[in-house]
Amino acid sequence: MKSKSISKLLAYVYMPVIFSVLGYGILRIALAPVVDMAEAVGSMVIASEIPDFNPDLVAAFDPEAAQRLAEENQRRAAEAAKAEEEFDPNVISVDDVDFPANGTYFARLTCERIGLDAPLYWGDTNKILKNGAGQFMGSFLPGFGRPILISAHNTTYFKPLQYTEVGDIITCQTNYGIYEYEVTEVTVEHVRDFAGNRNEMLSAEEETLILYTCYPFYAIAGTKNERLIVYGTRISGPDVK
Amino acid sequence: MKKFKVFAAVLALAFSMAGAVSASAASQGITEEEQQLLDKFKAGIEVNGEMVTPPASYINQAENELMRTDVTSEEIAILNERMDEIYAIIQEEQLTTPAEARQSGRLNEMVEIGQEAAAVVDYTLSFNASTRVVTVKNEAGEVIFETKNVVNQTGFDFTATFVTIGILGASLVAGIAVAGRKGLFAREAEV
Amino acid sequence: MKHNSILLWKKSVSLLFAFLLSLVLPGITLLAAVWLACFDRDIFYRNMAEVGYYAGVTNEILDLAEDYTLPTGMDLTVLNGIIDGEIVSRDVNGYISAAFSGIVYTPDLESFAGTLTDNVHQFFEREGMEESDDREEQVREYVESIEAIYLETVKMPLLDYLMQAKELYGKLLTPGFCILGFLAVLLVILILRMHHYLHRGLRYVAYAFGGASLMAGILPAAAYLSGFYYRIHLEPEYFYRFAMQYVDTLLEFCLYMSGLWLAAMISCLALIWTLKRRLKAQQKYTV
Repeated sequence: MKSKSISKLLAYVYMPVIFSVLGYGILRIALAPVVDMAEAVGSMVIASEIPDFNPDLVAAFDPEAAQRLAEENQRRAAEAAKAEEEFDPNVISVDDVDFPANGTYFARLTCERIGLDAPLYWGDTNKILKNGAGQFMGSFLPGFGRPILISAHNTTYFKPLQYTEVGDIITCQTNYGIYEYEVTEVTVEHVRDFAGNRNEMLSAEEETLILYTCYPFYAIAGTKNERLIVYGTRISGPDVK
Repeated sequence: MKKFKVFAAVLALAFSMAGAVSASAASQGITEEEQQLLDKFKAGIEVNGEMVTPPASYINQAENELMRTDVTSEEIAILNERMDEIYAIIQEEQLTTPAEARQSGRLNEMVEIGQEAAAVVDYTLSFNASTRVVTVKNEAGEVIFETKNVVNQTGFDFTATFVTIGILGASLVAGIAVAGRKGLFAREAEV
Repeated sequence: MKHNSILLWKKSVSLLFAFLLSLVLPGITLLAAVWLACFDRDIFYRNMAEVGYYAGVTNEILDLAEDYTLPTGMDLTVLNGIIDGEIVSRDVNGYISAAFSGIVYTPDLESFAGTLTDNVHQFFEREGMEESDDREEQVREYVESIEAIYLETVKMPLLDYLMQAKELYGKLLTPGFCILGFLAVLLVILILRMHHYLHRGLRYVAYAFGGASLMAGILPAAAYLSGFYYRIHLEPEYFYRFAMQYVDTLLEFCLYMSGLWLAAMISCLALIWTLKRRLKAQQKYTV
């Protein structure tokens, strides 16, 4: 009798458990399309950590790093010469390039004649443009033989661009090399035309420095529909391979 | 060449994820296999007699990511297979717009394939509800890809659902029928 | 033999009906939980207040306005006093209230535009800049752009989709409740009808309540405790916090409902115990 009572009492525990297991199983089958989709999307949208809404901009630029790397390369070249091996000190190995993450201050743009001196960040978010010039992530780093697309506000870091002339030398100093670009063209385009040309611009197989900013430069224009664009061709700096 | 941003985004996503393998201690730069994958992506596919290719910015972002990190041969093989599967769907259904993808009922399938490709690496999607921009971040939380095209509607096939509900309903009716036939509702005193 | 066979059939069919009841009951609670947690206006406002939604929107508007103002060359002081928490709350709530009521809300931007325009003119005065028709046109464009930023930000993201979902859900709710309610009552009656003694039938009903409590509670509890949904990256931050609070509220409601079925099961057990005691007492008396 006692065991029957215990068994009846236990039934109030295991029967609900059995019902819930079977129930979940049936729901899994019945809602399979929704559950499968939720699983697929869930694995894509659920990160390993809670989002950080105030990621700080990171400073990775070291003004002396390029010099150190150049000296190291000279040393390697000398050693290679002794060992009768080939080594070109003017070529940087891609392993020596620390690819910047979005929001990283990785280089500096300067042009003495016009007073340009802008920290260069990877990415071009609003936060970045408040702190310097931003490179579009769909373009390439200096030395890779591909287009480099950089923007900044015309009231702050790219204000000096209004004085740019053909023939000016713009320097982009990175941690792995110092690159100089000679300005070949300064032009103004409507933002629609500039955006329309973007695909062709970014597909190019040559290294062109493209700096752009809102135009005109004078204070208060309601909506600046034009862009001042400065094109430059690389004249010095190591190749990255 | 028609620019097909939504699908290019899905494919570029696969690439960006491929590039987001950050555990590699091997050298940077692009290997031959990675270059083949990139070339395949750049070449695009032919749909309705027209070549459909991703925008240069997507290709460049993928290239940057592949230069930054290394992808193993196995991972490349998976990404190759997934890209082929997505291309096959696009060509089978002759899809040229996101609306056609939804109507074809194969958008779910494409998202799942994308997810399988993404499972190769550790990445996350971040969605900005105001701007409808989807951002891809690698495991370090770094933004590696961004697109303004958001897939926000999908279709579902509820065949299994209706079948299951049908079975449950039938169980209820069968239960009543059996109980009636066996006279279970007759309240005999139970010993 | 026949009697044993009938008993076996009774148990089997009772278990089947109890199982079906344990599927129906969580369905009822889920319908109620989703409606209350997701589509109740007061809970919506409560969630927004709890996570500082209005302050978040205010900061976002000012941030975006700053980003827009920076390239114009104007001082950021032109944005002083254009909005405050009260104005933002009024318009955020206005949009939401209108959406819930199915009408259109149009914020009154007269004061906003007026303050901004005055600030810009004061900036011109300070800088000694001459006014002209061209300049006035640019000011007008600028003010309109900042107004557009305000309007876009103050309206809750995805609100339209939520209201569409609410409308669809509302159509399902009443028939859903009626059908599931009817099924629940039918199943209870069927179970009790099959047993001579009420307490025997109630046993199966108690199993169903227990099953319902577990089904309504296990998954939500697992989700709530793990907090995996906090790792979904949504932006802006104020919207993320609101979305997480939204999900928290839904899961809490599911857990309350689970508790409700557990309480029902316990009540059932108490009733069974009481009935059995009464029956034993009666049988003793009869003997």
